[in-house]
Parts: sequence; structure tokens; C-alpha cells
Amino acid sequence: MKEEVNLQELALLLSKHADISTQDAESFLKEFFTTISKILLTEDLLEIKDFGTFSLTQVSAKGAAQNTEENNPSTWLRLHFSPAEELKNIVNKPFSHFESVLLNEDVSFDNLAKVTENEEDETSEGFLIEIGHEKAPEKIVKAAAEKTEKLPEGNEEKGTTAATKNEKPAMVKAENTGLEKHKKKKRKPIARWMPILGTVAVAAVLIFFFVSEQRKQQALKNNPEKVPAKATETKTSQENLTISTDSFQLIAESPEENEKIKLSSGKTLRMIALEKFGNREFWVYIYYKNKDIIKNPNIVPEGIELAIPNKSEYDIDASNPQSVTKAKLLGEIELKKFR
Amino acid sequence: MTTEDFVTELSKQLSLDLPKTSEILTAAVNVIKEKLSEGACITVESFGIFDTEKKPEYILVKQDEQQQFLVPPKITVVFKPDSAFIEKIKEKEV
Repeated sequence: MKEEVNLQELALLLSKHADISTQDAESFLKEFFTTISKILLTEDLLEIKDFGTFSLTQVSAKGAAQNTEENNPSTWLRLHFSPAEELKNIVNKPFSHFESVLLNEDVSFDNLAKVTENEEDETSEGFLIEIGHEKAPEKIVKAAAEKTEKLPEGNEEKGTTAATKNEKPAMVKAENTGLEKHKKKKRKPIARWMPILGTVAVAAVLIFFFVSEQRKQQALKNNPEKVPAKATETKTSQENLTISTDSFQLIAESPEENEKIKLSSGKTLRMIALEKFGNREFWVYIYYKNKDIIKNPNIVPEGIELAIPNKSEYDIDASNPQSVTKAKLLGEIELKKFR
Repeated sequence: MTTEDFVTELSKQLSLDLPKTSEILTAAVNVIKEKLSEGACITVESFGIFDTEKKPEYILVKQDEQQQFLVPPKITVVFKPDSAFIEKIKEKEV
């Protein structure tokens, strides 16, 4: 079990060494550590002779996360205490008589970790402190604390086969980020498919509308009267309107009687349409309604009695541009027949 | 910051003259060294822990020279900052 020394115990020892009161020694040590922390807030390097050097270095996120591919934009600071040579030697006294030994080619130690020269250089000690993230540094410190608890004591050399490099705090962060990355990976496939599925859905809707529009236009070209007739059939089904699609003649069975007017001198179908429906283009419906008595829409005999269709029969709506366009188109088709 | 600057700053804070501050500082460092060499760990509240770690022996591979070295175990001093100290460091403007 390791001996733990707190500030009070240290002050007691200091008071004996420096020949000062325990109180003075304690306040000196308190101020000693407070000043170090204060200085490190403004300075990046603090060297204390025979004790060591505190350094704060900014490291890139890549360097902090090491082998992870995570693109972390946060800033990291590495707090490192490098003990002075004298302190190093005193602490390492038990192993000071050992030196590195060149191994022959036929000698191998399977239970020992192998570290290449470059890896050894890369292993920078110290604590990584992430600026801007709250949880990450705690994880690092906690992991480092756990690591400390597991540290071998005394003659536990047999169990110490882990690579030195793998014990670095930076790798602790790498492991943490690895887990987070794994979680992210689970969500990725859905997110990746979303835009593709969206695009396919939009394309399908556009194709559907395009094809249906093309069919409508094709039907209108092939059989101009059939389309409006069908449309009218649907809309006026409640009014018991039957449309004969074979003859393209509309037979109204509406209980409402159609208004009848006598074509006076100088009047045309267009003028009547303008008068009754608000637009000249609806003349074609008057023609349809009276097709049995009008042989040629260009020549309508004077004094003829014309039945004026109900607006609902042909979806007549002067305020609707589509209705006007449709009537115009039908009118042109009818007139072509008499040219 | 060098040791001289640190001693100056410390003497200001403690209202002590420089030689006295330097003397006590040397004594304090010696006490810390003594305890760490005994394998003790020094805990300072709101600052951190000075501890010793034994790094196991390992094989160092020098690829250029195609040589392998058995590097002996080593005891090193490590400093683990306290969470309060870490919070202070976080306030540091980079």
C-alpha cells in the first residue's frame, strides 16, 4: 500500500527541514502550489529548479484522438510535468543500475511489448484537457485514475506486459471516441438513405404527373370532344345528366328546362355566349346544345330558337381561365371541321 | 517562466525576501523529493497528485539499424491534476 502524504504532513516535514513553524511551512506550501497554478494560467512553461517543469502545450484534435478518424474541432491542451533530472534519478534509484541491452537476433521475449523507435518518440506523456467540452476531460482523468490504481507495485513485473504506449492518456481518449464513433456508425445507414429515398419519391411523383398529363393531352388530340364530355359526365352525375360518348351528343335529362332564345338579326353564337356566360369562347357549348338544328356553326339561320345550356352542364365558368381555354380549344376544333 | 521569476513571484505573495524564499523553496523541493523517492504519493488539494509509476520493461526496435534492445523498467514521477485545477486551466485563453 502506498503512503499518501497530504499538505499538512508535508508542512510538518518542511518545518523541520527549513527550521520554520509548521504554520509558516503550510502557508508556504499552499502559496507554492497556488502560484504554480496561477502562473500556468498565463504562462505555458514553468521551470522549478531541481523539481521539474510544468508545461502546457496546445495539441491538435488529431493528435489528441490519435488513431481515430474523428474530426473533432475542439482545442486540446496537454498538461505535462517533466521531473528534473535529479528527481528522476532519486525516484528511479531501484532500477538505476539497469541499462538497455542489445538483444541477439535469436533471442525473443514473447511476453514483452515491442515498441519501435518512432512510436517511442510519439508517446508524449501528460494530461489532455479539452477546452470547450465538459465531459471528455473528466473521462480522461477518471480513466487515468483507474490506470493508477492498477499500477504494479513491488515485485509485480510478471503482470506488466502491456505496451507502454497503450497506457497513454491520449489513447484513453481514442478508446472513448472509438465507442462514440461506433454509436454514430449505427445511425449512419439511415441518414445515408434518407436523401436517396426522398429523391426517388419526388422523381416518382413527377413522373406520375408527367405521364398523366401526357395521356390527357394525347386523349384530347385524338378525341377532343370525348374528354370534356367525360369530365362533364363525372361532374354532373348527380344531376342525372347522361352523355352519349358514341355520337358526342349530349342529352340532357335535367329536370331544369334550358333557357331558349330566338336568334335575332345580327346576333351570333359568340355574342350570345358573351351575353349569357360572360365570355365569347363558350359559344361552342351553345353549338353542342343545338347541334341537331345547327348544321354549320359559321352559318346560323336567323330566327332559330336556341337552347342555352346550363353552366353546370359544360363546366362553364368565365372566371376560370382553364374553362375558357378548354372552350376555346373545342371551338377551334369544331370550326376546323367546316373549313 | 524560470525559477528566478517563480521565486520572485512567490516572495511577493508571501511578503518574504528573496533569499529566504529561495531557501524555503529548496527545502520544500527536497522534502517532496524525499517522499517521492520513498514511493509515497503527495496529494495537494485543488492542485493535484504527485505520484510514481513503474513502467515495465519493453523491447525497443530500431528499424533502421535492425536492432532490438531490452529496455529496463523505470520508475517515473507523474503529476495528475485535480479537477479544480483542470477547470482553471480550461479558462486559459489559447
